[in-house]
Formats: sequence, structure tokens, C-alpha cells
Amino acid sequence: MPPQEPEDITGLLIAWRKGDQEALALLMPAVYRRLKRMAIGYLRYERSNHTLEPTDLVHEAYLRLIQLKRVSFKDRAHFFAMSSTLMRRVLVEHARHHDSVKRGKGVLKVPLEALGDIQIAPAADLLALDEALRDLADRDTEMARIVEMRYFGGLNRDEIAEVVGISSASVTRTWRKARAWLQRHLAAEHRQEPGNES
Amino acid sequence: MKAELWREMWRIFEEALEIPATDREAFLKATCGENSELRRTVEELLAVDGEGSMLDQPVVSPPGPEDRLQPGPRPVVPSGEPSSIGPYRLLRRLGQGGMGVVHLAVRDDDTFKRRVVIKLVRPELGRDDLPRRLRAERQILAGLDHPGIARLYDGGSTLEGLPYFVMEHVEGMPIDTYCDHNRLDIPARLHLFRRVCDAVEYAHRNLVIHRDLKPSNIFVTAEGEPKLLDFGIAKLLNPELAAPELEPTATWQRPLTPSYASPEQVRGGPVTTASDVYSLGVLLYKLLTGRLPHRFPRRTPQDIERILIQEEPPRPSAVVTASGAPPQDSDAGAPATDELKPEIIASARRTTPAELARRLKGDLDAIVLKALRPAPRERYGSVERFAEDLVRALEGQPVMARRGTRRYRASRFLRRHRTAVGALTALILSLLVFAAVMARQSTRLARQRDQVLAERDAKENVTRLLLDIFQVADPFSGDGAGEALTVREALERSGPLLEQRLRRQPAQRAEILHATGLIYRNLGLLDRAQDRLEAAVDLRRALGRDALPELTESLTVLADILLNQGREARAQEVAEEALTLARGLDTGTPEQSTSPLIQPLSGLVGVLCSLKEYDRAEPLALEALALTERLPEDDPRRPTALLHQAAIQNGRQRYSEAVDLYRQALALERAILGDEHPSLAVILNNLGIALRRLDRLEEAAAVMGEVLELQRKTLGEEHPEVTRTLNNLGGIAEARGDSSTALRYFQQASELLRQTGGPDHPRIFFLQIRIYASRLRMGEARTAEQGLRRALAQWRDRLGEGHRFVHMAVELLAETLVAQGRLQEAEGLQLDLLERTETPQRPDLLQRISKLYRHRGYPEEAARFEGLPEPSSDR
Repeated sequence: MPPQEPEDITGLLIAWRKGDQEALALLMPAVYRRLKRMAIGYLRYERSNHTLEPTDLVHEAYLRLIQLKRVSFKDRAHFFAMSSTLMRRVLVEHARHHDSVKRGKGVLKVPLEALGDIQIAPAADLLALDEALRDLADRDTEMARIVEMRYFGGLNRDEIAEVVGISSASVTRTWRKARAWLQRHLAAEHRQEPGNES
Repeated sequence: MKAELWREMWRIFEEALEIPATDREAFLKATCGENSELRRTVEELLAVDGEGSMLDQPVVSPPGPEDRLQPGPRPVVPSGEPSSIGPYRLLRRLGQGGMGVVHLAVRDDDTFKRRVVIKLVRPELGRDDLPRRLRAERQILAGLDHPGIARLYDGGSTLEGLPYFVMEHVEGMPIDTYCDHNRLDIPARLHLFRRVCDAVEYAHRNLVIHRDLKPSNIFVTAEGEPKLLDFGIAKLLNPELAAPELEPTATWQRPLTPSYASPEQVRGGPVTTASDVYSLGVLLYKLLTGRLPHRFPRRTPQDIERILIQEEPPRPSAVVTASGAPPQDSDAGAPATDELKPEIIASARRTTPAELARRLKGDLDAIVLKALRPAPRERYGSVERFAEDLVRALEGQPVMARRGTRRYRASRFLRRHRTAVGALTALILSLLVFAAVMARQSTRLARQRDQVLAERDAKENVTRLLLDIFQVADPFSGDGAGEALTVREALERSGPLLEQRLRRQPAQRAEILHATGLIYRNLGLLDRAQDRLEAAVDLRRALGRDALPELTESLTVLADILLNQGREARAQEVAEEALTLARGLDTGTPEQSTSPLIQPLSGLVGVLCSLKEYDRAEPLALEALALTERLPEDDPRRPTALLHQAAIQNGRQRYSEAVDLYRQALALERAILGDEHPSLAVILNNLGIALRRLDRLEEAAAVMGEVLELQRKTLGEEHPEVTRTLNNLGGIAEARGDSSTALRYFQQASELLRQTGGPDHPRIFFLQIRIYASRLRMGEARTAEQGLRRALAQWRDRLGEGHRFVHMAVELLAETLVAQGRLQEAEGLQLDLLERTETPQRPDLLQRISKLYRHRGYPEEAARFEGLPEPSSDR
């Protein structure tokens, strides 16, 4: 058996926080693989049972990814923040995949919201949100990052504050703005009108 | 947006949040000043701020309502209609279809100001499943590109979330109106109709069934081009593309137009391309006669179904001279009664009623009625066939497609009923004899028949004639269509004449009916055969005790015909009656006790086998078997009885019994048919498969080898059947662990298939997969991997991601990676595969993934993939 498996994610995390940049290089793909595998396992499970709580995936994923007792609050927050990016990638890939499977190849491009739901969050919504988040990041990186951490990473206000280095109150305010902007953006796309923010 | 404007916007937003909602408007007016765009943006941001959002819930959520962008229940749709949708400005309302309102619209920003049609869901149906179906329509239509099918340009949702489509605007009129308006004559109508068929055929080739063909969906442009509109309820045949949310709705909820719907659609049965053939048949009926084939006094589904199935529509040629009540055609609107006067109908076709009737009589009658058969499989096999026959009718040629069907049926039937050929010989003889009987005014037909039967000359003549007709000597090839038609034509002409002359001699009339029925059966014309036999049964029943043996005989044949028509329940009834009667006739004396019971027994066994009622079939089959053992060795009824029994044992998974029976049947058949008959290969093949199931692999290989040899001799080296046998041989070799032999067989099979089926035959891909599976087992994992990657590159796009063979190849590819220790790559592939497999669950794949994880030291993941129903233990 290859000795590097299962990856010692906690160990890598601690090494990274101590300044070992190589550890980060190993950490990211390792977390990504495990997240992906867990996400798919969950989806199978969910389809046969329908008993899964919405937040289970995120929480259990984290619990199993690192040994929380071994890491500090600080480390944990940074780890979650990093994982939220990966979680977003896993889920968006998954959604895109379903999307293309459902539509078949070379078929007319249709607006996203009309594609129908998949089992997890509606694929179309996830993809639209992903798109909108990228737009937002072009204008305001911090706003986009906060949404990512909260929505895809399940981080709470204090954790986000720790990672971004702002007050918890600022996190709440920024979240509210980002949420409004995304909401409006998605609704605009929904109407199929070109955005007017030029 | 500039950075300072961005900051400014948020500053205003945050300040506005502090102010009570009622004062915000004034605040914004004051703050934004001239910048109305900024003001609007902030207003919108404030408006959505209080709304629920998908962002409020973490990312993974259980399945729920589709539209998560809308908080809570879907907002009530305003009753007024919009003046524009997306970039399209609505010009006027064109009409209202089954599921949507149709508008004429124009794209404002389009330099060409192209006019389009926008189809929009009816607001009151907005919460139904209709949006989904419309979504499906959009996907389906987008894939179709044919001049006879209206194009789909675009699609989307309105502000209220209702889906709409933008489609090619077809200016024209419904095809029936167009034909009458332009007073098209019959050839012109047929020509136009054929072009409609072309478009439907194109859609069928793309696995799309229209399901709702009717005049209002078929427009003809001013240039005379037909265009099909509204694939509203079409459903992809390809299950991979039929999204799971397209669950079948109750048929009656479908906005079908009953006048054009096929019986199976009304019944809610499976809808196939044959359903479109039916609807096209109704359309053609309408175009030719101005009427619909059926009239529905009451429009409940039950009434409609009963009428569609039980009432044969009148021949087109018969209705054009009769004036009747107007047909109920809600689709075209009730036409004025005037228009249904025969003179007016004929005049719209530039002819007179009598002339029109003459024109329709014969070929066109037959063609239309064939398309309108209640049973889908009795209609034309494809729209193309239908259209071809029309061309022939136009050109005055005999209707070849029907002949082709008949010949196919006849040959297929004869393949199944080789024993019937003996009966047929007797039957033709009886007809020949009958002429003599007529001449000599004899009344005892049966005895005469027995005498003549003994005359070898006659028998040989007739046998040769039959062989010429049906090409029995080589049932897999040959061309006997011409003669088959002659026999039939002779029957059609002479039958009624004979029957008429014998009106006062019911016994003989019954004999003739029985005899012609048998011929029809052997020609594959099952409806006619059934007709004749039913009549014979009625006559013989009326004749009482004296005719009981003949009645039994007719019942037995009738049961067989019914079985071949797929009417198993009735077949069983009739066969049971035949057997009961036969038992009453059986006197038990050694000379007589054999023959009268065998056929009825065998008939009932056949019926029970197709009903899979093996428990009931078995004692009867054994009884028949015991009776046939008294027959001479070369009597074809002996192997038949054995094969019946073998089928029963096979069906009950008693393979070793089946093997014995197949071997016995084989010995007898060899004696009767000789060593080189393709039918032997069929039995040998079944024998080989039963042996394989028993794991008697050595024997299975030997038998399958025999099949191969026999097929090569009788069918030729390059027959498609040979591919199948090579594949079976490979499978057996693989099961024996002899992968290199298996490899050789698979390679041969693939080579042969390439030659016979062309390089694009999907089974070539299947064989390639088997080839690499063998290579993997031979330890050549790397070669297998590379080969599979090449094959996948070649076939993936052609077959589509969801194709079963593609899945097989990817799975195997993962195995080759596991064998090379490249576990992470294997994991990636397997997870991808799992993501793609929707339902049903793949226990084998899940188990493999779970094994992989256990192997790699991830017990939780392994458990996760195991937490599903236990797979059966055959892996």
C-alpha cells in the first residue's frame, strides 16, 4: 500500500500553519480528493434515504478531515476557509457534470434556471451562483470570499472574522451587502437581461 | 463600474438601511441626484435585501422545490399578459394550444426584425408540471434540424418564472385547410403527405416521437412547404436523454387530440413510432376523404378506446360517396355540414365522388387501413415504409412494402413452424382434391383426401411447389415473394367463389375456410387466417357431434394463430377447449389414441410456455412426449414435443434436464433435416448456453464450436449470426480461464462484425471491451488500458456518455488502473462513473469502490459506499 494514504491532513495543516509552504501544496489536493469522495458518497446515500440533514456534509466532512482537538481555533478557521474554496469546486464540478449529462452534447444553450433540479442543491442555481461569485470577486474580492466561506464552507461569523482579519460586525455588514448584490445579480440573470453595471 | 462608484453605492445602501422603508424613496432621490442608474441599482439592492435567498442555507440541501431562487411558494402570476418577453416584443396573440399561449413577436434589437413565435405557458397552469414539459420540448427540438420541422431559436423564463420558447414563425395554414383551399388533387395531396412523412421519419431517426400529429401541428407555407410544429409532448426514445423528471403523466392529462391519437395512447400504453404511424394514417384518411376514420359520439376515454380498438374504420373509398353526419373534429373546428357533402369533398379534390372512390379503392384503401390497425405491430414498421408504399401506389406499382412484410412474416413463421409444412402440404392437396371433388360431386371430402394423400406423385409435386414458394430449403435467405403473392391472389379470387358455391354445404365450406385459413397463417397473414378459422369453428360447432374431430382441429389451429397475434389469453381459452374436445374423442384404442391428442396438447403447451406457466405446461408436455414416442422416428412432431419440454425445463432453470432434452431433439432433427440445416444451429446454441449455465464449460465449448461450424457451412463465413457465436465462444473460453483463446474469438468476432456490420456498429465497441478484458486477465494491464483509452476516444462521443458500453469500458479502465496500482486514478474514474449512473443503483460498482477504499485504508468511505442494499452474490 502506498504509505502516504490516508493522508495525514491534520499533520499537514499544522506544518502549514508553522510556515511550511510545501505542506500547503500537499494539503490542498489531499483535502480536495477527500471532499470529493465524501460528497459523492453522501449523494448516493442521500438518494437512497432522504434523511440527510442539509449541513451534515459540511460538518462531517470537517470532522473527518482533521482531528479538531489537535488544532487551534485559529488553525481550524484557516483550514475551513481553505476548504470552502475546495468545497465550492467539488460541488460546482458536480453540478456542471449533471448539467451536461442532462443536456447532452451540442444541444442549444438554455438559461440555467430552467434546467431542472438535481438531487442536491439545484445544479443550475449552484452554477449561476458560481458565475455570480466570480463577477463579484472582480469588483470586491473580500465580499466574494466571505460568501464563499459562509455558503460553501459553513464558517460562522467569528471564524470568518478571524480569517479575514476584520471585526465580526464588519463580517455581518459585508455579508448583507454581498448577499443583496448576488441576489439582485441572480434575479437579473433570471430575467435574461444583460446587467447594467457598467 | 468604477471603484469609487462601487463604494458610493454601498455607502448609500448602508445608510438607506438605517432609514425606515417609507422614507427611503425620498432619501434616495436626494442622495443620488441625477444619477438615475445608481438610484435604480440601490433600489433593487434594497428590494432584495429582505428576501429569502439560497445563500441562507448552506450548500447541501435535500431535494426540494425546483426554483430555489424564489423564496417560499411560487409567486402568483399576474393575470395580464406581458408586452414583451426577454428581448422579444409581443405583437399579437396567435392562439392558445394545449399547454401554452402562442404569440407573434419580434426581436427588437435584431437588425433583421425577424418575426418569431413565442410559446408561453398558460398562467393558470403555471404551477403544474407543464414548465418541465416545455423545458423538455426545448431540449428535444433544439436537436432537430430539418426543413420540414419548425426551428427552435431560443428559450427562457419570463419574469414570473414561466418558461417560454422562441420558434420559427411559420406562415401558412393547417395542412387539411391548405389542401382544400388550393383544391389539391389526390396525387398532389399524397405528395405533400409524403413530405410530412419525411420530416416525421427524420425525427424518428433522431429518436423523437411526435405523439401529437394533427393538422393544426402541420402547417403548409405559401410555397407549399410542410412544417411540423409543436413537439409539445414528444419524448426522447433515448432513455439517457429522457431526464428523470419526465415521469410519465397520466395519458388522459395529456393535451392529446383524441381524433388523431392511437389506441395505445388513449389506453395509456407504451407509445412508439408506430403511434405516429397511426396518427399519420388518420391524417391521410382526412386528406383523402375529408373525414376522420372514427366517430366518437361520446368522448370518454373508455368510449374512445372501445371504438378505436373494436370498430374498424370504413374504407376511404366507401365514405367518399356516402353523406353522413359530420365527424367530431374538435381540432379543425366543426366544419359546416355542407363541406361534408360528397360532391363538395370530391370537388376540393378536383374530381367527382364516384371518380374519387375509384381512385381510392384498392391500394390506397389498403395502405390507409394498414396504418390504422389497432395493434401497433400490424401497422407499417416505420414511417418510411408507409411513405414508400404511397409512392408505389402513386406509380401504379404493386405495394412492395406490404409484400415485404408478408414475406418476412411468412419466412419467420415457417422457421418457427417447420412442422406445419406437412400440414400445409396436406392442405394444398385438399384444395387440389377439392376441385376433383367438385367435379365428381362427391360429398365425402375427407376420405378422398386420405386417398389422394397416398399418391406420392402429387405429394412430391406439391412439396416442390411449396418449397419454391416459401424457400423452405433455405429459410434464412432467398426470394419467394412473387410466388407468395400469387398464392394469395389465387386464394383471394377463388376463395369467395368457392364459399359462395358451397353456401348450402356447410361441412365443405368449413373445410375450405379451414384450409384457406391455414394458408393465410403460413403466409403470415394472421388477421385473415383468424377470420377464416373463426368462421370454420362456427360452422363446425353448428354441425354438431359429427364434426367434432374437425372442430377440434380448427380450434387447435385457431389457438396457434391467436398466440402468434399475441393474444395469449384467448389463445389459452381456445386451446383448452380443443384439448377438452380431443380428450372426449380419444377412445383409448392403440391405433387411434395417438394422433388426435398430440396437436391439441402441443398447442396448449405452446401457449402455456409463452405465459411462463411451466407448472401447468409440464404434465401436458410430458403427455404429448409420451404420445409422440409412438410415432415414427421421422415425424416432425417428435422433436417439437422434446423442444417444448426443453423450453419448460430451461424456464424453470433445470438446465441439466434441458440439456438432455435438447440432445434428444437434436438427434431426431438431424435424422429429419440432415446434418446441415441452420435450424440445428439454433438448437445447438440453446444447448450450449444451458451447458454454460451448468458450468459444464468443456462441453459448452464443444457444442458452441459445432454451432460455429454449422453456421459457417449453412449461412456462410460472413453471416451476422456467426459474430454472435464467436462472442459466445469467447465468453465460454473466458469462463474457463482461457483468456488467450477468448481473446482470439473476440478478435475474430470484431473483425467479422467490422466487415458485415460496418465500422460503426456499436457491438464492435462491445467486442473491443471484451478483448481488453481478456488482455487484462492475461496480465497485460498497460496494453488494455491504452487500448481502452483509444476505444473510448473513438466511441464516447458517438454513443454518448450514458451508453452502457461506455460505462462498461470506463469500469474496465478503472480495473486496469487498479491492476497497475494506480489507485487514485481508478478512484477518480469510478466516482465519475457513479455520478453518472442515476438509477438503478449499481451494486457491483459500489462494491468495487468500497473495496478500493478498504484496500487503501479508508474504512468510513468504504462503509458509506456499502450502506446500500446488499448486492446479489454473483460477483
